[in-house]
Amino acid sequence: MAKLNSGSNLKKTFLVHAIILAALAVLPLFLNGYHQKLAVEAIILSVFAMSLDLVMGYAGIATFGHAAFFGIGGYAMGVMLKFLFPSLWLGLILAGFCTAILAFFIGFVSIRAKGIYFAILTLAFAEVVYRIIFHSYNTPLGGSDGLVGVPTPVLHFWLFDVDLTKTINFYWVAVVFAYLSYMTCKLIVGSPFGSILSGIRENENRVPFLGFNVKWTKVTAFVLAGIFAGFSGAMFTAFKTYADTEQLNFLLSGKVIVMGLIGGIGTLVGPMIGAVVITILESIVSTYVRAHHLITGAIFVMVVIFMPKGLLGLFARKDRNNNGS
Amino acid sequence: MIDYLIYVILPQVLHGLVWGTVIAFIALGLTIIFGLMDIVNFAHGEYYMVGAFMGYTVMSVIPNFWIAVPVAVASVALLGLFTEFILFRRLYGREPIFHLLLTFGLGMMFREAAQLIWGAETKRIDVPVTATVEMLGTVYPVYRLLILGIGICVILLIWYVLKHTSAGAKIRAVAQDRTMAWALGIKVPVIYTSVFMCGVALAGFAGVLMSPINFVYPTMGIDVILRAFIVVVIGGLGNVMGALLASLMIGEIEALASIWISPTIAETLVFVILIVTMIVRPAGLFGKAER
Repeated sequence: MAKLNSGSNLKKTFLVHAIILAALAVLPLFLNGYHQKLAVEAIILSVFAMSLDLVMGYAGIATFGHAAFFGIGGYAMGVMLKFLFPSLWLGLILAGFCTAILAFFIGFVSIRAKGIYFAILTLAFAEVVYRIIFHSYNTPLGGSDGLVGVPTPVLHFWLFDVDLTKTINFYWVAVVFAYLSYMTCKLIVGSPFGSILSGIRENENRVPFLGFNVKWTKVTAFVLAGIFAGFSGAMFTAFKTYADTEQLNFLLSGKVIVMGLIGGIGTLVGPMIGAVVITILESIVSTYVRAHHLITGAIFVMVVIFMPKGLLGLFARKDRNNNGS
Repeated sequence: MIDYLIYVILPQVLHGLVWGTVIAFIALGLTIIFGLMDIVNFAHGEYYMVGAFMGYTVMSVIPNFWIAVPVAVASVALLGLFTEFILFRRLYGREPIFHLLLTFGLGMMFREAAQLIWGAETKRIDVPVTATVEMLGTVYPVYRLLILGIGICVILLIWYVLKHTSAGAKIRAVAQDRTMAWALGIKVPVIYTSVFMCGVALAGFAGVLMSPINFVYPTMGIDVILRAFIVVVIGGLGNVMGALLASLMIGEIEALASIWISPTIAETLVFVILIVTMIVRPAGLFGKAER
């Protein structure tokens, strides 16, 4: 697909990216403190939702335990910042490392199970992780109280430091983080590896005849998704200055699937938009209604029934057909 | 040694049987609904919760447990009828993951609604039968044995209905090939609706039966549903006998393990068993190799 793009098309893509980035960059100047915080959260969660898209949208595997990676990434960042070294880079590296190992283990073990079995198995794994951390009272992780009092990290660039205690600075860092993650995932999806993934989604049985190993491709995709989820969880903890078990809970695993579905899976951008929409929606609903889970749950139900292809699916159907060829 | 067996092991074995029966109630509903209509009902635990709360409500008006039970079961069945008719019906034929998500949202709504209606604090129903019975020197509450007895009767009834009645034959026919069953004049939607109602009513029944033993609170369904899922998967999705055996197995393992290790770790052990099972036999311990 990328190779088919003509020069003018590339220029257009570049222009669109530049406009979106510029718009995102100036956005916080018009927001108050609370909304800035919300925007940071939405952007970080959008990376989480996008990471899920790698496995769900492209490889076509439904996983119901994605929050495990988000949470472990968060805890890794928390441990790094609180006990080891207050650097965002090192925290991200540790988060990526831990989630890669965890995702490899879970993926390797569960990949034999198909369809709904895989979903339930990942759910069980995530639940084990959740329970282990939930009951770790006497460890530095803090059990059900969570890992609190994580210091805001220092972000060293080559020549200067960024003061992350200011929300607006963190916002810009989050935008860059999300953009880089998106571009990396786009690269992955556009690579030959991405084509194999789509092949697995479309017809798993035929891929081996083309000489590709289905199992290892799936595990790799799962690990990549886990790493990006870990990154976003790490950013989340760095921003919130705590890591708690809610980041590991299966409710979050469900919520992130809904984020993906609302946006439209298999598009990368879709889940990001879905995450932003859900985060904003939840905040609005919880400001005005006491029982906001009731409304959120109703929205989930509506999405599943009326918009199985998501917001983007309503418009971008043509584009997806082109991708298939 | 004998004393240890009688005073420590025996009560736990019985506890495990009772708990296994309750899990079986929920797991049977889940697995039958899945086998018939490919719905993975994540909100199944919430029907269990509603059953318990309805029992509590009736008990606070008419303090008679034996009136509360049928009323609770009937109201859960009614709720099942409504939800199936309004929501689930629209998703038949779609991938199971959509049902998982639909019921996920539905479960959220139910939990929040229950919290709005009944409040978040835990409640308890008085045990209707306070008598105890002495077995080999150890004292055991009759009510738990009663649950066990009722459970066995209900399970036998389900088995009889499925295997030896014309309604059961129709259900099995639809589960096997719904298009063919439709062509032969079986009213598939009616079967779907009624089976879904019975499945969730079973969960509600379990909820109201357990409410004198466990506490009643809005998130009580989550604890149960995860276990029921494990049981259903270990038994093989859609496999009734497998679910039954697996529930008793999980109930026993959990009860016996909690003699030596803390109950929270015993809970985690259940998940580990699931994972090991899935590695060794991806289609479940009692399932067929591939669907």
